[in-house]
Amino acid sequence: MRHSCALSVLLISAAVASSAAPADRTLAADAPIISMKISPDSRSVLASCTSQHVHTWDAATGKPSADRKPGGFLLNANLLVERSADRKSVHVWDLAAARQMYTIDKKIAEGAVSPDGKQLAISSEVERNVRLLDAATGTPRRVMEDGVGGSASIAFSPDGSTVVSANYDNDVRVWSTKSGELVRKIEDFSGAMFAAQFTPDGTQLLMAGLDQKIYVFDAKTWKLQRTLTGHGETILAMAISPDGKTVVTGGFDVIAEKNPVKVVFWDLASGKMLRTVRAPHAVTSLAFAPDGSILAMSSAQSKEITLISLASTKP
Amino acid sequence: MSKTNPSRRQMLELCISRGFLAGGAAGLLSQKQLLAFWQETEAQAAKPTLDDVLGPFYRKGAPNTPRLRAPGDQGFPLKVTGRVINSKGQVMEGAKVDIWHADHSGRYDTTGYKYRAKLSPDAKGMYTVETVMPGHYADRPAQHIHYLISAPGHKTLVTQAYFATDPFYEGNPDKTWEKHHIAAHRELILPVKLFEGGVGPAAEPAHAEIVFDLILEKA
Repeated sequence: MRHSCALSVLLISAAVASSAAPADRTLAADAPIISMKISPDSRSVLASCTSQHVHTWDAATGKPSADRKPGGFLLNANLLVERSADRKSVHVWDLAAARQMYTIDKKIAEGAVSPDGKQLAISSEVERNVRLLDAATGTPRRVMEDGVGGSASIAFSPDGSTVVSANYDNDVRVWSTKSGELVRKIEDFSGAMFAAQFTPDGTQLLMAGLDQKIYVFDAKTWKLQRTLTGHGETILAMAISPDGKTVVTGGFDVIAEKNPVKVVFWDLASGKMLRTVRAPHAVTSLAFAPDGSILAMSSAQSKEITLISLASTKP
Repeated sequence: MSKTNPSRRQMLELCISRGFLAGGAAGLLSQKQLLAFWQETEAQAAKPTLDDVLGPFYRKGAPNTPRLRAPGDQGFPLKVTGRVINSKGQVMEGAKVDIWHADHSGRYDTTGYKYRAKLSPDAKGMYTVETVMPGHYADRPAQHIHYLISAPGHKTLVTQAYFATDPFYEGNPDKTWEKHHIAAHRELILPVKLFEGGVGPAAEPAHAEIVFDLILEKA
């Protein structure tokens, strides 16, 4: 993407850069992308596609490094949720081991895995609850009562002690994963929050969605600290840089049309918009590499992932 | 409550078997009471409305207004009516009906409340909205209206209404209703009545009409 070169320059000038940023890249899959993740070592980009494949590329060279089956939804760079043929249950796969670990006998609205990979949270629209499972075995741990509509997004705190479900009924619930107790219910939204994420230090929870705004909550008091406005489009995807300084948001303009949209970079401390880049249409996934070297983004119905090179902090 | 139904039913059966219904009042029950029994028994058999997904576009805080269509709005006028009751046939006090749909071009209002309402049904449990036929959009290419119905003491119902006249169903929803896994149940694809416009300033315009009864289960 040509326009993002300017972004790289901006970020380099804003940050302490030790080398020129490598060129931006496009990774091409064989079919539209459902979900996208970057490996913990920042070396691989993974995408699950509607062709029921999971493609893996080398993040540095852009070369394909693996092509696996089955397809589904990536919970992280190793766990994949595959929907059963009758749509009534899901299979959870360990991609590295090429092993189907267990089956969950439910239709799930949303799922998320804790940062340490040990806890799996799943939302059921039919049962109106969120369940915590042992991610390795599928053993149920807790059942938490949720609202109607299922989760639009689920987020674990970095230490895994808290899980948040932002529901399609507009309400947000915060639970302790140890006790399963409801810690806080946030009922002030008038629109679902499609993206929820804690800052890397766990002190703040960011949520964004239908109403185009980004809400920054104190993750201790659960009070609203700040609202970032000006994105101007419904927000579907959000990523926070590993240093916790930059937030990136993307989404869609008009669902009936594949209009180009913008991806917005924000300075979290000041709430100021740093820069916008264009995306061809509805941005569904955004991810920073854990080392901060790249931002990856994918769009609805698109077979391509765009890697935006950021200021390299590596020697 | 579970014991009330059989006893009422038994009473009705008793009335019928003794000829009270066929033979007139006979001093025990008036025709009016018998009719009420019939109606209640019929209503008691009401099946709860089938559910469907809530979808991503629900917004809390919509106004309580039956008039969603403004003069000059694009799209064919649509009237939606129905009763909001429970499976015992009772009108539920405090029932609220959230209704929302895309505009003529398939776009939802994500920042305001166009084509959104939160209605309080009348004393008979009736609700009505005057709106336009929802448009089609790429993600869910069948026309539909979303519903979220709540009432104290009852299980919140989330459902949707679809249109049998929608070209998406190719004139045969019995055969095509599962296409693209959009409608959760065949029963949610409703017959559409078409009305010619009247003459004169007070006359209704040409419009489509659907009737969608919303029947909740006790919690």
